[in-house]
Amino acid sequence: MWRVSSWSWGKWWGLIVWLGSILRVYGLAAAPLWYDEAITAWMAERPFGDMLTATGGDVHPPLWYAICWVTVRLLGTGWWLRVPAVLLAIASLFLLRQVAEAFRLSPAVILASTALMAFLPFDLYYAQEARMYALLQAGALWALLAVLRRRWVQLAIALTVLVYTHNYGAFYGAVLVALALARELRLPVHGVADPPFILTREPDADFRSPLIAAGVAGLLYLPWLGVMLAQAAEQREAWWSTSTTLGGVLNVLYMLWWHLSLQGLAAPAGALLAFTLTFGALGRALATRHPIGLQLAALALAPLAIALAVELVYRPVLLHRAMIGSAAPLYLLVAWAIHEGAPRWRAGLVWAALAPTLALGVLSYHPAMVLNKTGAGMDLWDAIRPRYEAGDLLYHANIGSIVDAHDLPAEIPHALMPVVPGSLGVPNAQVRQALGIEERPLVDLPFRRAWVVWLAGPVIASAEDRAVEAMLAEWPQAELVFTHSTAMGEARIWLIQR
Amino acid sequence: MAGRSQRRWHMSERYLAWLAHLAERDAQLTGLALICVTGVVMYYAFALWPAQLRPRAQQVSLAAAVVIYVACIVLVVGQMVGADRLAG
Repeated sequence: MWRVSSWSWGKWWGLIVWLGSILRVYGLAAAPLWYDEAITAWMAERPFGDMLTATGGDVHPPLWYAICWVTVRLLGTGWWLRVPAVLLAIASLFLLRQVAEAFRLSPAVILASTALMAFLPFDLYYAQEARMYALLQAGALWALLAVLRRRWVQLAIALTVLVYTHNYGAFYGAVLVALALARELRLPVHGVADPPFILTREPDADFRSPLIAAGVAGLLYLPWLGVMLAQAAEQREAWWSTSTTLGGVLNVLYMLWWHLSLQGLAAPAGALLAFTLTFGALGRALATRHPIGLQLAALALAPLAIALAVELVYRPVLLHRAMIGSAAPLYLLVAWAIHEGAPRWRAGLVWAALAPTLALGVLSYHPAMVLNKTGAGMDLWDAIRPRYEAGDLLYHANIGSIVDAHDLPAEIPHALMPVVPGSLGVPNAQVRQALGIEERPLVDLPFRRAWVVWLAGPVIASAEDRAVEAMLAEWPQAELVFTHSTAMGEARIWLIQR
Repeated sequence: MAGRSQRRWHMSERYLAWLAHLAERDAQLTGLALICVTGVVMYYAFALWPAQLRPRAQQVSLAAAVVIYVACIVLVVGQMVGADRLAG
């Protein structure tokens, strides 16, 4: 039995899980909802039919929005929408242990992988995000556990959860079904003529059940398939992400470890650690051809390979957050490479390098998360508030600021300038209508005073810049009251008095 | 496919600045990854197949490799001091 001092490894595991759970709950309400979370809240607050319509016009499947819709009615909106993610992320820590035990990994590997998942900023960030990523991770772990335990009904349910959670769910599903079939290949196949008295410890290979589980999940997905294809067709040219490069792939690997937490010299140091451990673990799996190492390497990298293949035939889809289903296999792979059959001095050396950076990541996670989520929308409202008068209209040049302003008091009237084509990643008319956004030219709106808010990031097209200038030309009395510019973004507010 | 270049014509200077930021990040990460891959290859070259070299030759080549490796790290990381955070 693995022991440190008088504690069994199970107690150390419990301590790690407790600390990881505390970190997932700590400061849950500290940051405002950022754009993606705010639009999730907005959708979840709408009647169920409108929520479904908005989801259909957007880019994701509906399961997470349905969970948020229920959460709004049970707990409330705002940061309460992060509660399901926290619970799912804590459940993932337990699932990780079960997966590791199903792989028959040693206690040292279980402890190390749990520590990575519990403390790495990437997992902490998405545990506190009111989006579907914690569900995607839990679903992928559940499906993997079903594969390892050969629970095919559970696999069918978990695959269905995955494909209704995120479009990447199909990538993970394909890899997991392939893994299930590959594992079945290693089991004996007994013919009917085999003597019945020969007892084998291993069950017969079963290729049909994983395929049936995948088929059931596929059938259950059929009602959404048409919607997904329509979403895919619409987003083909309008999506914001750029073509993937080698650096883009490396950035995904980096983000799976440190996310946005490390600053200054700590960032390259963290990258060196992350890459060395990732490539080192892959190297060990390949050099030793160890079945567990190879399975974990496939689980960690195959979804990435599928995403890159999809890019070749469709459009760029690689997103670090959607790779969260690969995070747990990656942490298991690294922990396996550090500890399984390795000399103690080497494991000690690795942890001597990793532990300080991990501690720095934990310490810097919370302020980095709050900074990242404190959107410009709140800064803009701070600029308006001192001179705001009851009844003043907030007129948004694009959907970015109107979504950021969703947390503002309900009595403040908002309207949106008619959307100018060309900007990337903008929710379509179906979404905007289902959210009840009033989208009209300013001249058509009744107002005494209007605050025109223009928030322009990299994906806002030049055509919108010109449209805002043209609109303001109609109001020579417009007073510029706030301006802020960086290389990649601009924010301006004008006050118009009629 | 809607790639970086096809979009330039209708996007603003902000988009171009973003692409420049991504390119800088890509270059930094690629440099760091090269260091790590080299280190991992060196590790397996010396750890898994030590019998390929005679002990004395192995020690000398290992020492030379470590010196080159550390110099590479100092060179690449040194250039990054003061740079903005890596991932954005």
